Amino acid sequence: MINFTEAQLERYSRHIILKDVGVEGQAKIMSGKVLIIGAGGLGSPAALYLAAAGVGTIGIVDSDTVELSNLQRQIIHFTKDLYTPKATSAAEKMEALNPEVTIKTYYTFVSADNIRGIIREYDFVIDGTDNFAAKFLINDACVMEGIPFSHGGILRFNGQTMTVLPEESACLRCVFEEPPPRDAVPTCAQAGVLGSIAGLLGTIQTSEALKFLTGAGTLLTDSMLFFDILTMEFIKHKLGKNRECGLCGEAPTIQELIDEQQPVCDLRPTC
Amino acid sequence: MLKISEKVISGIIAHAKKDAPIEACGYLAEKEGVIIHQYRMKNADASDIHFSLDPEEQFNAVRDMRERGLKLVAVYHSHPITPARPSKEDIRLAYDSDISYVIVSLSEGSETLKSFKIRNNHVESEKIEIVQDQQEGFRNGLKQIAKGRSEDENHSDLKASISNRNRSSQKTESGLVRFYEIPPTLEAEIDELEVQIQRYNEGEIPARELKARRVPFGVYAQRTKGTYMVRIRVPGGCATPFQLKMVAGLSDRYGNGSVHITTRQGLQIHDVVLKDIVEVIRQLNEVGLATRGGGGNTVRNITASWNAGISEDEVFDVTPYALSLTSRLIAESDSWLVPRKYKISFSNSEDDNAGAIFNDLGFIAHVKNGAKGFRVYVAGGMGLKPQVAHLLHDFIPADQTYMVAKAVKQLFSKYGNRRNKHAARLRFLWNKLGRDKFVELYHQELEELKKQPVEPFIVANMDNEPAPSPPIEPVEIRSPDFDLWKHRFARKQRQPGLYAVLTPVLLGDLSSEYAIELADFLINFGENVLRFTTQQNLNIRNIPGDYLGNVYQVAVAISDMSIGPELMANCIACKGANTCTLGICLSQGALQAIFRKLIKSELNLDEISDLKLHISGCPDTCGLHSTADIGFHGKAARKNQIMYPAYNIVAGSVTKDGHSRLARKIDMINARDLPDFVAELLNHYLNKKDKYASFAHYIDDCGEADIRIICDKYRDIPDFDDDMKYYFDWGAKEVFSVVGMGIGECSAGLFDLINVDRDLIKKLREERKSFTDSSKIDEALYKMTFSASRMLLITRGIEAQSDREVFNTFDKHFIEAGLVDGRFKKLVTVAHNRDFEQLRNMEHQVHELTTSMEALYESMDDSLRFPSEKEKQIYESDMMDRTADNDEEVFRDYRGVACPMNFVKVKLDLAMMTTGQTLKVLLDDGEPIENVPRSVADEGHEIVEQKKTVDYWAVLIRKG
Repeated sequence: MINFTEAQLERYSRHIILKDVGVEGQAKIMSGKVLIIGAGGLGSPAALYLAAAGVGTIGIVDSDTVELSNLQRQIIHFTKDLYTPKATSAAEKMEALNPEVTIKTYYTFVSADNIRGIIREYDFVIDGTDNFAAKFLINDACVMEGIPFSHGGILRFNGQTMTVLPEESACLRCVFEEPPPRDAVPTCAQAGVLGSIAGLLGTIQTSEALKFLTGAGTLLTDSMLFFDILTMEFIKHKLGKNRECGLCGEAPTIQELIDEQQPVCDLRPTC
Repeated sequence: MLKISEKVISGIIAHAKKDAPIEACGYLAEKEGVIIHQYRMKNADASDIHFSLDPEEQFNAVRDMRERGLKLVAVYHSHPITPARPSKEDIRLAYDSDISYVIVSLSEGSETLKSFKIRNNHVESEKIEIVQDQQEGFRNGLKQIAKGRSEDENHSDLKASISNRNRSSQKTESGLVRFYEIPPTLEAEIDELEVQIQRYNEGEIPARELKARRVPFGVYAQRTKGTYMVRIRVPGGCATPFQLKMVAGLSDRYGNGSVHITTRQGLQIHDVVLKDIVEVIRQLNEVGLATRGGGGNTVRNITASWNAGISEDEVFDVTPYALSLTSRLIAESDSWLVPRKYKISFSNSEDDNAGAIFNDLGFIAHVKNGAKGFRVYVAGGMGLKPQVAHLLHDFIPADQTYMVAKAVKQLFSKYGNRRNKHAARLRFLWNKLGRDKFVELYHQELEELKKQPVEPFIVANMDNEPAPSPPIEPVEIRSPDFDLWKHRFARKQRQPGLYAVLTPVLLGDLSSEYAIELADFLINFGENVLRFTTQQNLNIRNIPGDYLGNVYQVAVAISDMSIGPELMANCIACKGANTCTLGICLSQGALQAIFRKLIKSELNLDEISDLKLHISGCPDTCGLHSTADIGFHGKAARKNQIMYPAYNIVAGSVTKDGHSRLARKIDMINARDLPDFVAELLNHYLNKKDKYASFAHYIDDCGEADIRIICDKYRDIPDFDDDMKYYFDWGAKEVFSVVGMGIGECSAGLFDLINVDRDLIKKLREERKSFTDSSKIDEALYKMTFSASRMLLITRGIEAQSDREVFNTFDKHFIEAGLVDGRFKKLVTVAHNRDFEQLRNMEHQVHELTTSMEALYESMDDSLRFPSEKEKQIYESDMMDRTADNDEEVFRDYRGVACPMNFVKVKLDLAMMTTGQTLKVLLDDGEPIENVPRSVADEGHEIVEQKKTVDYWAVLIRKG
């Protein structure tokens, strides 16, 4: 059943015109549910584009409030939003952009205790977090719940992303057994990040979400895309499922979620 | 060299100025080497840089030229901002090297007129010679003869009188005959209107507030934004020739150059822009014509029998009563504040030819014991629910006329329904109070009035006598044509030797030029020589028999219908959908199509010259279909989901004191076959008419059956693809549609229709309380569900016929569309299935549904939309049930939908269809037709065919 209002037809006309999206694709988008974990650098463009696309339900998880140092790249938050919860600030902008979408806000950190309950309601998850502990938690939870997600990370001038279809394609643990040791990888706060690459990676992740909902094209599965904005090199590394993977391999060792020990960035303002 | 009469030159310039900034265009026609006639045409491009002539108007103009013996010699158009020379476009499009191309330029503030011949892209300019117009000369001749009697300052050149507003009013009054007195307060009220218009222009008050101010002044907005109609009070249709000339002159200068005669004997000037409104009203005021009360909730124009004062059969002349009552009532400030319009009429005999019985207050002349007086009727009316008036007084002495009218006005003011204008007319008060209560309250008012000192009601006698010595020579004509005309249109008056002459006016529109010609002629015969009739014609009276030849010459010159049978003069059509926002069908186009058919037919129309054939474009009775012998009102019908224009047929009304009744609905006919239907019915009637005293008798006996039999023949119309003509209304260039229908300025037919159901629901809800008998309860619940389902269907352009159609369309357009809660779906199904036991169990839901519908109605905006629709207008929810029928072709009209939305909609349609099913879409020429089929094909669908029709395309797509 496709019930488009005149206004919807017009709003989404540029999607509907696309051969690979069309009426049916837009209808799928409109009944789709996508969760964004982290309303930061990656979550900002993701939240805006998903709302603009008319994704039926968009969840946004973040327990932080907006800090001045966020504004350099977390474009969904404005100066007037300083010290308000990021989830609130993001929801407000999405609402303004497209009142038709339903927005659910979660003022919390994802943890082993709550993450499965949250992601279960969604068709697709975008990882917009700023630390490896959370990224692995999301990976593990999504694989366990069978929910596809897009992994992403940025630092300095670089970014990386891959899409995971649980069971079908390689997961984060197939590539990296476990999070890097504490302080082995500097955080944004320590190393810095070029603001615009948050947009670059966040929109790639959003594109994956929309492709997943509409069924258009081929997802970025079993490969990791790396880019270096200084040289403008984009490299796609072919990967495969790792039979030894502790999570989705033949003899999984990880049976339940644990909160990794690695803390979030030492300094609060992060990616 | 091009010889052009002076008048045509000023006409071209006037047209150019009027249409600026759009290019004005038209034809120029010559006789004996001089261009003497201009055909103003619509610029079909409505552009400020190019023009194209409207094909229909071209055709009409050419036909008119042929009839008048004129020859087309030039096309003219204006350049509002560029110089008077042909543009590249002009040269490219010059299709005829023989005719001249006249260009008038308004650039740099002055008017320049030049003529060119264009041959093979080569332009040659041509000299223009200005010639004194022959017609003008003829009129001047008349004027000169008339000199010494009427050529005083007030009758001097009209243009001077229009431009020179500062003449002293004393002089104006000394020479002018007026038929009613305008209260001195009017001038201040006009000043106030001027202030309000000023405030509106400065953005201080909203359009709605201005509307409230202007409508009671008879100023109505027209469909074209920024233009207005001014309605003039002409009681009893009495105006002097000079007043007619003034109105015509004002229309020429400020309006569309035409005088419109209304079915209430008033006059209207159309196409006046806001800045000129006050000027027009002031100038009318100076010649004794008021527009106050032309509209709104006021005492409206008082009508009277057109033949009052001259008829052999009348009881007495009622005209002076209509005039005096007008003067009295319009001097009272509460006449502008009645709950709804208050219409009064006077008839001079039981034949009631003024239709007193269909007015809020009707007076029919009677004599009792030798004293003049009236039988008085009250609470009648037309509108969507016409009603025959009820007897209020069997007889009142004539001097009580004012008291009665005043008492009814006060009763109306006190008890009328001001809150709901759709149930506000006096007849609703009668229905609400019932006869006894209404009459009781009325008598209270009357007694109150009698206690107060009231100025006696004095009426002056109106003389119907020949002018002492007409200053022109009688023209004697001996010809069969003249004799036939005389037989058809001239009637002997009661006054020996005098004649009254009917001059038919097609659709009530008389061009200013003709009106002035007529007025100049009539001035020779005095002031009391003219009546406008309720059939929208002119009746000329007090003409000595010797002068009938002169009248004939003028009548034939100004009215083509004067050479036809009288029947056509008696036909009425409202404005219809081309100007009225409520209109469904093009009633005027239909009437003209009927005329064409009748003229070609062999029918002896002179045998039935009294027959009244009336057409309204919608169920509202502006075209007086309810009082016709044979009447039609427009409706939208559908075949295979495609709408086509159609008419309901009503017939058999009687207008006679004590026997009056309205026409009753008999059947329906599609618009295309309407002329054939009329011709066939009249043929039946002519064959049998000797057996019947009237058309109504015929209808009662076998006419109704005849109508049904004829209708059966035309009931099944061709499919859209087989014959598209059926889907175009008469005179329409686009496929029939009710899109754009809105709420009228004056009446509110749509609301009346809705109120039928609202009232019914209220009544049933009341009655239900006292019912104990289960079958009565069942019926009440069923009817409530039915009315609730039907009441707002009309807002979607649906006029459902059967119960089934009502429930189905309600489900689709209200429940499925989300306007009404989905839980009522079951209720509607239960009602639909007439499952009364279940319905009784769901009684609470019936009440909830009626409440919901009432709430929905209350929330409706002026464009008939509901609040939720602004956000969520469900797009063609009827697509749902289409997927089931695989082989059914889907039709969509996407003309006027721009790229890429047209493609988006086509994709949506296709998405709802199954493979192999076909979709027919109408697309505009240009970008849409270039892009949409290509894109559709790219997506794997098949373009079966694409055909160009007029200026759009029909594309057939098979889903891939």
